[in-house]
Formats: sequence, structure tokens, C-alpha cells
Amino acid sequence: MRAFKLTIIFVIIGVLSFGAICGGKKEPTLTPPKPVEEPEEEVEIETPPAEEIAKFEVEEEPEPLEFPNIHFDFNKYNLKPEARAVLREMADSLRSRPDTMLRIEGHCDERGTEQYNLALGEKRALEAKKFLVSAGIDSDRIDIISYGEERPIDPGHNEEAWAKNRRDEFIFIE
Amino acid sequence: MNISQPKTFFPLVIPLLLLALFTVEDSPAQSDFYGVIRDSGGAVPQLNIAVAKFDITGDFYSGDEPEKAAELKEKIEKGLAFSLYFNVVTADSSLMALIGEREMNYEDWIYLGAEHLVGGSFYSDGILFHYNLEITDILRGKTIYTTEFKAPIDSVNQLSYKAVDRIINILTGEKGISFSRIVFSVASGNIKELAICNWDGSDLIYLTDNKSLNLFPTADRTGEEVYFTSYFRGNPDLYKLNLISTELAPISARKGIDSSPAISPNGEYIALILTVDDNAELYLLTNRGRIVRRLTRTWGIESSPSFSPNGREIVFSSDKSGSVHLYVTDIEGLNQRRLTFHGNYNDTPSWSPKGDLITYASRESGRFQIYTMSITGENVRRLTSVGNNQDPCFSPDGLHICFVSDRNGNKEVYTMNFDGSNQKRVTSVENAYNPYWTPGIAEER
Repeated sequence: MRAFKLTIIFVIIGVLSFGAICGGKKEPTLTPPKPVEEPEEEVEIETPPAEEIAKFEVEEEPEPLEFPNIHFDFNKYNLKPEARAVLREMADSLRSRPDTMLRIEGHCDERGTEQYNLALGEKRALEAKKFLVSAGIDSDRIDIISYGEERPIDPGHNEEAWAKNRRDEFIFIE
Repeated sequence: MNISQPKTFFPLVIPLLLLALFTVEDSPAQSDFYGVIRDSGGAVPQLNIAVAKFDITGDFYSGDEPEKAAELKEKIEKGLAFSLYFNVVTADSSLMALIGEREMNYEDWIYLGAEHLVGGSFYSDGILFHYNLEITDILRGKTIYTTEFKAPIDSVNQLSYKAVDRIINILTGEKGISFSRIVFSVASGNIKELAICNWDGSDLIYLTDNKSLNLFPTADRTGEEVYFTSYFRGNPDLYKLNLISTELAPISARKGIDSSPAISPNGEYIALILTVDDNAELYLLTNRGRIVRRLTRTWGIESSPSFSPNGREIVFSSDKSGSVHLYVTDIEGLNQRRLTFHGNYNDTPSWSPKGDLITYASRESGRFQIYTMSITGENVRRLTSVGNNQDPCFSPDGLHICFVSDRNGNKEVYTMNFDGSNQKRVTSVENAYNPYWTPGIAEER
């Protein structure tokens, strides 16, 4: 049975390669390669002088964007005035740098259940994204993720730590 | 084990019932037996049972056969006591003094109040342990059941699980949960891996090693498929891990979270929290991940579903009222009703497989405590008081609850009886989360 299967496979391979050979023979005569695109390729491949590359890098290398975390009230996901101020500034920066992508991470303090907080973190990240989109930033540039209460920045069990942990973090990708 | 502590549950009708058990005409149906236990008031109807010292027959291979036989006896006693169907009677010091060097006899067991005696013989053939189980009705002085169990050498645990489940089945008609296991998350730094252990904490193994967050494990009724949320490809998506084939399959990897799954009793459906429509809502999916329907439409957060044993209803949490409370919906998304009215944060419900109770965690003065209530939301009872106690989940027989507690510093998995008695730590992993009590795959064979 197995030998039979193998034979079939070899036959198929044989037929296919025969076809390929035939096709290979015919093709040049039917469709000769068009030389039209060659100049374009040459232009792309052409490399500028070394000093120009160096100049380009020095001049255009953008400072990586950095914005502080925004914070939320206990069990809330609405944006506070301070958060809106940060996001307005962020929208300006993103507008002037259309190639920069943003990832917003939503986080919670430890006091709820992990299940509920995973959803709450998502809402916190989404709220910031909505703000940026309404400020004219293309929603495709913004990715959100919730870490719920899984990634505290302060491991303490007090109001100070909790206030720090209820946050959105912003990661910019050039 | 002291089970007579709380006011309700479990009458002492058992001696009568037992007599009936062995007169063929009156043999009660399994559900009747259970109904008697759970529905009427009083203490647990425990049968008084004793485990005799096992005879050792055959040749000695490793030489530690007497120790293994003693270990088996001890584990059978532990399993019988844990099951809640039995009060395990042991010889007290005054009786031992009276007996002296001679072997215990029926009169001694009767004196101790035992109604049934588990005895038998134990031997090793160098490859397998053999245990000949013998159950004797002491009052009638008659052996009512014998059988032989085998298990790989050194697997006294397995031998004891087999024996305990058989004894439960022979004397009560119920199905034991000796092979049931607890699957949970273990945190270490920023990562959480899944682990699984027996109900008593033994044989702990890790199921994942992907150095990411693996959360909210749950399992189907066969105990074979574990569903969980994992970040190992970046986004919190739903995966299924087959514990026999070890095959891992993505089930739902939608935009946003794919969180806190529950599997319907027939294994056909998954209840899942999704944010595909931007807001966290409860959805019903097929077991392959296709959305059947969205069950909630609120501005709030829905979370933590658990199916009723007939699969028709789902209990879940929602903060649509302004605080987090428990609700029930049917799987059509209709007939939704609110169940909890106390406190302001009730989450992580687990519906008893027997159908009569729902257990959940409620936050009060910054800490979670575990509660049970009837499925109508009445008879609210608090079961824990020390430390933070979270993520309760019923055992497959509905008689126990596992949960996480930090009462001794670290977060560990604990078990207790459904009435809150007999609270015991079962793990020592330091950072346990989200335990789910799954039926055993290796059921008695």
C-alpha cells in the first residue's frame, strides 16, 4: 500500500516537473521580460554618498516620545483633568509624527478581583484611546491592552501604592 | 473532623438508611440519598466506619511493605473522613490499654460505635501493589463486599483513592471525588504559570512554562480540557490545553480581552467576557470559539461567569447598578435577575454542581470573604473570617469548596466543607491564584 502511494507521488512529481520544464521553455518566447522597470530599480539601489547618510541620520533621528502615566480614581475609568492635559499634548506630538504608533496599557490596583480588574484596565486604556481618536489621531495607530492588576509598579498595600498603580502607560513605537 | 458545628444541613438518618441499603427492595436511589443529606436540617449523616490494620501477605520485596500498608490505611482513613460521608472511628487509648497485645475484634469495633469495617490484605509483587478491600457490616458480622485493587509500586495515593471511591460508592451509592484535582495559577515575579495538584495538594505539576501571564483556568466535566486566558502571544486570549495529548489550541483571540471562561456541563458552550464591542460583556461561545450570542448589554463591566448544573443558566457579576453584584441569566440572554443585595463588591461566583448553592467572594472593609447563598439569593452565609479569602470554587460533588487565602502570609489554595468547616491549606507555592476544582481524569479503572 505504502509503496503504491510512493509511486503515485513520484508520478505526480514527474508530471509536475515536466510541466515546469515545458513552461520554462515556452515563457521567454511568449512574454519577453520588460526592460521598462529597470531604471526605477537602479534609482532605488543607488546609494547616496556616505557623508549624506550621516547628515540624514543626525538631522532626522527623532527623539523617542515619552509621556508620564495618567492616573485614575479608585474603581473609575473616566479621565481626570490632569490626564486630559497629558493626552492633549500627546495628540499634538502624534499629529506631527504620523509614523509613530502608540500602545496604551491599562492597569488597576490590587483591591478588586483579578477578573473584574482585567476588564477595568481595558476600559482605562480604551478611554485614553477614545480621547486621542477624538483629537484626530487615526485609531489604527493606537493599540490597547489591559494588564488588570497583574503588573503593579508599586508593590505596596497602601493608598499611595494603589494610586500609582491605577494608571495608563504609554509606549511609543517609531 | 467536626461537621456538626453549623445549624443547618445533614440529618442523622443514616443508620436507618443504611439498613435499607442492603435489603434489596428498599435500596434508595442515589439522588434520594443525596437529597436526604443536603436538604434537611441537622448535622452530616456520617456513617461510623473504621479501618482495620491490613494483613500483609506474600513475599516482601522492598522490605517496607508494612510501612506502605500502614500508609495506605492512613490515607484511606483521611480520604473517607474528607468525603464527608463518614465518621472515621479509631481506637482510643483506653481501649488500647484494655486490648493489650491481642488483635482488635468485632466487639471492640462495636464498643467504639463503628458500623462498618474496612479491612483486607496488602502485598507487593515487586511491580504492583495489591490491595484486597474487604467491607464488613459489623453489626451483622458479615462481609458485604470484596475486591482487589492494583497500582504501580510506590503509588499508595492511587491505591487509596481507588479504595475510598469504591467504599463511598458501595455504602452510599455516591460517586467519590478522590481523583479530582485543583488547577490554579502560580505567580512568580511578573509571570503566572498554571499548575495542577490532587485535592489534598499531592502530586503538584506545572502545566505551562511560557513565562507570561496564564490566568483563570477552568475545565470541562471530563477534567481533560483546561481552558484559560494567556498573554503568551501578547494579548489576553483564550486557549484550551488537553491534559492527555498536551495539545494547546487557541479558542478565542479577539480584539481586547478574552477573559474568565466557564465551560457548560455538557462541554458544548463557553461563557466568556469579551470586549469586542468595546465594553466588557458576557458572551456565549461554542466550545470551538464561535460566538453564539451576546448575553448582556450594559455600560458596566460583566465578569466571572459560572454555569448552573443543567447548563440552562449562568451566574455572573456586573457593576451596572454602580457596585459589583451577582446576577443570573439564561443562555438565551433572557430572564436576568439580581441575586445579591448585601455589600458592594460580590464577584467570582461558582455554582454548585449539585445545584443548590452558589459560593462567591464579597469584599468588606478592604478584604474578601467567602459566602454561600441559595440560588434564589437567600440564606446568605459567610464561611471565612481570617485574612483575605478569594476565588471560591465548588468541588465536583458540591460538598467542598476550594479557595485562595493569605491568612498565613502567603496566598495558598485551601479547601473547606460547603458549610465552612474543616478549612485546610493544600498548597505551599507561596503565590496561588484562581483555583478551579476539576473532576479527575484517572477515574477508578
